[in-house]
Amino acid sequence: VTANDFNVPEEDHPDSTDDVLRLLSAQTDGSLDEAGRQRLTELLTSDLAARQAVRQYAALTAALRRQARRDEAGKKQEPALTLASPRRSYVAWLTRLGSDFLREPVALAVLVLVMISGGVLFWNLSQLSRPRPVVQQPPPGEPSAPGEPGASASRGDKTQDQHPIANENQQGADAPRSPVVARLTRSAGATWAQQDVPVEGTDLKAGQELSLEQGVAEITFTTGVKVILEGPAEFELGTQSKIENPKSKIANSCSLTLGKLFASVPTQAHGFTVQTPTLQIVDLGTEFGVQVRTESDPIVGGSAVPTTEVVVVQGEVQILRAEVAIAQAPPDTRPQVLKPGQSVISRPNEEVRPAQVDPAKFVREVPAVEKPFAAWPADNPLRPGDIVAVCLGEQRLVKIDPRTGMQTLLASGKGEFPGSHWRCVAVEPTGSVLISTGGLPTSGSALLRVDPRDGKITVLTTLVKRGPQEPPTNDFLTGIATSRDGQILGLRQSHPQPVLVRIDPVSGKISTVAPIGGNAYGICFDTNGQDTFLTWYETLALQHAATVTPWVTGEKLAFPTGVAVAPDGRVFVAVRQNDARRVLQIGRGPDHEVSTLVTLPEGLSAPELGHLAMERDGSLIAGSNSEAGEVFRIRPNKKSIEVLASGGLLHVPAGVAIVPGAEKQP
Amino acid sequence: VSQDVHDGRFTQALLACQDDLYAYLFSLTLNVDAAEDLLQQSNLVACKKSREAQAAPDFRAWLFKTAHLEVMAWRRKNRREHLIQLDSALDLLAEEDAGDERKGLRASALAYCLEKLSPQNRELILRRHQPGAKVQEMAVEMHRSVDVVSNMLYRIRKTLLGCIKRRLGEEGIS
Repeated sequence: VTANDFNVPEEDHPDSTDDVLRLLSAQTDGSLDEAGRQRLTELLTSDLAARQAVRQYAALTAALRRQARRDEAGKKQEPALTLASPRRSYVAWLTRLGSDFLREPVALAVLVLVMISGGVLFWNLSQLSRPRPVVQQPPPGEPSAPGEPGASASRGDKTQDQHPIANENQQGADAPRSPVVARLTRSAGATWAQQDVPVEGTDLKAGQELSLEQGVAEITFTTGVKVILEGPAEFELGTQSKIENPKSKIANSCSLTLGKLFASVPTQAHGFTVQTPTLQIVDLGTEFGVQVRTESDPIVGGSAVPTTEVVVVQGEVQILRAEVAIAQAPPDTRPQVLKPGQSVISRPNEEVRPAQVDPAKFVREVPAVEKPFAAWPADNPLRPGDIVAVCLGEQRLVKIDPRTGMQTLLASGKGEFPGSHWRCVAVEPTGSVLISTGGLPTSGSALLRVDPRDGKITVLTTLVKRGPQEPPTNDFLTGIATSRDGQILGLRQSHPQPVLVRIDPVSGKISTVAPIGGNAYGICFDTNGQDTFLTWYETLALQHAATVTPWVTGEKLAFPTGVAVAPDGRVFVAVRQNDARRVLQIGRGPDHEVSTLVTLPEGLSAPELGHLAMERDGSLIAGSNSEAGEVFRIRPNKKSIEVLASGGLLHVPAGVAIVPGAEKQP
Repeated sequence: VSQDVHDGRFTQALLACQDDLYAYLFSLTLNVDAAEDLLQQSNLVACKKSREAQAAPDFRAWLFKTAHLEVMAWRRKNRREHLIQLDSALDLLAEEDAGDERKGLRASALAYCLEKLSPQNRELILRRHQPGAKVQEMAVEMHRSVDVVSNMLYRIRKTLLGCIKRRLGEEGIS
């Protein structure tokens, strides 16, 4: 199990129902506290949308329950049974849909039988609705057809047997020998639903599915066809051929089940085919746009059905209804040819109609975007938003999955570099990780740079050489921070007085920015990416140019450690007041009002919180100097604190940082 | 067993409602185990009163009303006094839904979206919805806290709902 195994992509546009869903989910799983329940009650009472969210959530729960039972039944009785996704054609879609209903009469018959014969008053419907153990065996050499075993004689399975598309999920998509048919050549603002996010230059294989949640992507086929995909879109490579001729054209086809694409087809690639739920579109030398969307259809009770729009800009395309393409419609239906400027709309089981489709609505080129981090390597195991932590005495750099808390070792040292302790960490916009070292006398101190791809460590700059000849010293960087534009600032103590320093990211040269009033610990850039906040004994201060101005001083800021700034400007400082370990919130008003955000609950072992880091959603990550290795997540808006990760590789994870990049614009 | 039970239309109607009825019961309890028990209980009552059910002008409305009575009995039995406000908020749903033809979430859309999850996530969420599954036990097995597991489940549900909404449009599951 690796850190990415539980990776769930975040929704891109959180809305008010997210809050409801979070509360509902917690209540279902028994982890909602009283305050949460009150909030849920309020929302449900006052907000129609919240009640709608409950309905959707309940419908999901019911469907998951059914699916879980089916899977369980499938595992016990028919290991080969897989759930094919409904794709590629509306017929397959309907077939899949039908199998859900066709199962019912089977269950019904059993139910009636049981009741008649046994006079049974109590039954377990879920048991009855499981597929029967008797499964039709496929002939040798043929893959077994997916579907419900209990309904093996049904129309649904018959339809699937006739059409190779039904077997695709078992054969094609994940076969390692699938040929490369295209490459993701450019993209702009693209986010993908896939676990392995495709980046520019990624080879794409036949059968590969792409879910573009937003943005624009350019896919260039080996045949020379250029497809501009506009999100949200569901796209699959090299699929059409399986409908008509499984042996040919695999490299020159694709399917679009949702969203917009614009295809430019060079001469040598004529015949390029786009399959949609309702249409098969074959190029005859063209530029054309296709859009698939769902619309509510009153005939089927308002259910969503897919529609396809096609507009030809240059050349010609031939279109054929999907039902016809796989011989489900009258055989006298002929392909239709569209010429430049012509456009059509197609709905399931209806004749294709002329329509006004504006070709201007299709993006034809990937817009140029300024890449935030040009040097970010494609094979970097870190992703924006990942958490990195250093373990003080263990010389270990650990990645923590922000969603699951899973730990992965990125790099480790065995004393080969200056500095006995790895104290704090920051991530550069290039994806490299900086580690400040130092500690025991004569061990020296340095700023290390780690390439997370191979864990290779280089010394960016040495502060104190190690060796018995060196005088005992505690000269090292206690805190480091990187800005979005690549600046590195560090807190250097005792040299001969504490100073804020700048480290050149290329040469490693250290220069003094400003003297500071004490041995500082916490440092972070302000929202403007230029000034920094610093903490030292009973002080929070703001550095601007060469001036360091105390903001808050006094007992309430006793033993401050980490500091972080929220996107809205609020400043958070971790402190230890007597035995209470707290995170304080400091307002930006003229009074710099201090309030307690959270207090670490009794029973958690961390004697002190370490550095703080700000996640993109405004949550705080806090390291600790705990032997048990706790790394905490604090949600300022909920005033909650939880253990994100502990134990495992983590031991005194004082330094934490978030991998920057792909900042969400407010 | 009364003769009415043999009426295919009754059993068919009852079977056709199972997912919706479960969803209804779940929305009133926010508890998968309770919804499961109440589903069985409601089915039982419906069978016992099948004559009454068939005489009702709207079988579905009758069934949901019967189920709601079971929910109220369950709440009393389980001493949910501390949840009385939440329960009455949830009852608003029941009132709004009275006699409303619900459209269940299409299994095909769920299957499609489940495939988009990582295998581990898929297993995790389906495991949670197997009969008798306990988050506490799952958390122990995974060496994680209940809150972490709960949070993982939340994220998966959110992802699934988002995916399904995108796939079907809002009307498909509302």
